[in-house]
Amino acid sequence: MKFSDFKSVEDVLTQYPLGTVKAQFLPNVEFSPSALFIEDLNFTLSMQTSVESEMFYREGFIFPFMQQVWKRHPELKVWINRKLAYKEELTGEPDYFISALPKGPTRDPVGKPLLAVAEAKQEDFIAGWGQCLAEMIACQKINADEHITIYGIVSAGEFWQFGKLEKETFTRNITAYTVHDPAKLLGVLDYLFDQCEKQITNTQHYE
Amino acid sequence: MKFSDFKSVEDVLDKYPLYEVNARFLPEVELVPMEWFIANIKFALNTRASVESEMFYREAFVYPFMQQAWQRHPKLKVWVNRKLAYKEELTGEPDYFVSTLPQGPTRDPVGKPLVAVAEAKQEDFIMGWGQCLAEMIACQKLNDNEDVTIYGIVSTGEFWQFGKLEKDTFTRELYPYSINDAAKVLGALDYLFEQCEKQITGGCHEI
Repeated sequence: MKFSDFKSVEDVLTQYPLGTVKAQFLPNVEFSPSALFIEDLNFTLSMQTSVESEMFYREGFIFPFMQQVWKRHPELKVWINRKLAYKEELTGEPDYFISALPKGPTRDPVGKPLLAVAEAKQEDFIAGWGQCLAEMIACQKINADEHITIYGIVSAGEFWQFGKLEKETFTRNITAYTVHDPAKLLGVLDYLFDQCEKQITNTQHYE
Repeated sequence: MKFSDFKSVEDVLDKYPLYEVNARFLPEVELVPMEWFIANIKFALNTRASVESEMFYREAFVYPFMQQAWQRHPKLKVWVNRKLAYKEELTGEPDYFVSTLPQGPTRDPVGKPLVAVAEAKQEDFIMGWGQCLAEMIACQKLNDNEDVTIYGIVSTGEFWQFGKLEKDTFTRELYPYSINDAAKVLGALDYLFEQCEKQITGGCHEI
C-alpha cells in the first residue's frame, strides 16, 4: 500500500492497531535564529498570497526551518523525496525522512536507523497524519528494533504538529507550533533532532 | 500542449519558429552573499549523497539562490509551482515564474507582465530548455506585448544557465554558472531580476 493511500490516522489504525495518546512530550525550549534567518522568513511571509502551492510552503518555510536545526546535528541526514519501502507492504516517497548519516563507502546510501519523518500538507492535517503515521510505521519495521522511537512531523508551512511512535504507542504532542514564533518552533525541532542523534549513539553502543 | 511535452529546444522551434542566438548578455557582476548563506550552501553540499531527488536540489540550492536575489527586488513576485496557461495551447506548471507583485485587491492574483521563468531539471539541460522555452513563449503570448523581454533560467541546483526571449529571438547566454562561485550566480540573478523590475516600471509609464 502507498503511504498516500492512508487518508487519516483511523485508516492506519484499522490495519496497524496502535495505542494513541495525546501528551505534551516536547519541552518548552527556545532556539533563537540569526537576524538573517528572520529577515528571510519575514520576506517570505510578506510575499505570501492567497493562492500558493505546497512547494511554496516547502521552499519558503519547511526546508529553511529544518535546515537550521539540522546544521546543529551533523550525524543526521535529512532525505528529501526519497523512496522508502518496507517490502511491498508500505511504500512511497515521504517528503522528508531522517536517518543516520552513512560514514564511508556504503552499498546502501540510506543509513540506519531511520529516526523521523516529515510530511508537508497544505492545510490538511488529517490526511497529513495518516500518511505520516504510515511512514513512521514503515521506519519502525525497517529498523527492526522496537527500542528506537520514530518521530513524526506534519507541517502546513505556517503551522507545525509533532508526534512520536514508541513500540505500539503513537503519541501526538498537545501543543502545535507556528512560524510566527520561530524561536519556539526551532526549539522543539532542535530537541527532536537532538533525540534522534542520541538514539544513533545509543544503538552504536549496544551493537 | 503541456510544457513538459517539449523535450528539447528543437521540439519548441518546430512549432514556434524563432531565431536562435548564442551570446553573452549577462554582465560580469558579483553579489557577495552573507556568510550565513554560504554556510547553508556548504552544509547542503557536505551532506549531499550520491542519490538525491530534484526536490533536494530545489530546496537546498535553487530556491535559496533565487530568494537572495529576489529580496532585493520587492516589486516582483516569484510564483512557485503555480499553473500557467495560454489558452489550451500551452499549459502547465513552471517550477518558478516571475511577475509583477499585484498591489491592492485584485481578481487575478498573478500580476502582469510576466517577466521570467525558471525550471529545475536534474542533470538534463536539453529537456530543461525545451520546457523553459515553451514557458517563456506562453508568458510572451499572455503579456500580449512583444516589447517585454522574457528571461529564462534552467538550473540543476549546482549549475545555472540563462536565456532570454526578445520578440522572435531566443538568446542563450554563453556562460554557464556554478554555485561554487556563489557571488557570480547571485550577481547574474540579481541583474536578471533588476531587468525584470525595470520592465515593470517602464511598462507602467507607457500605459
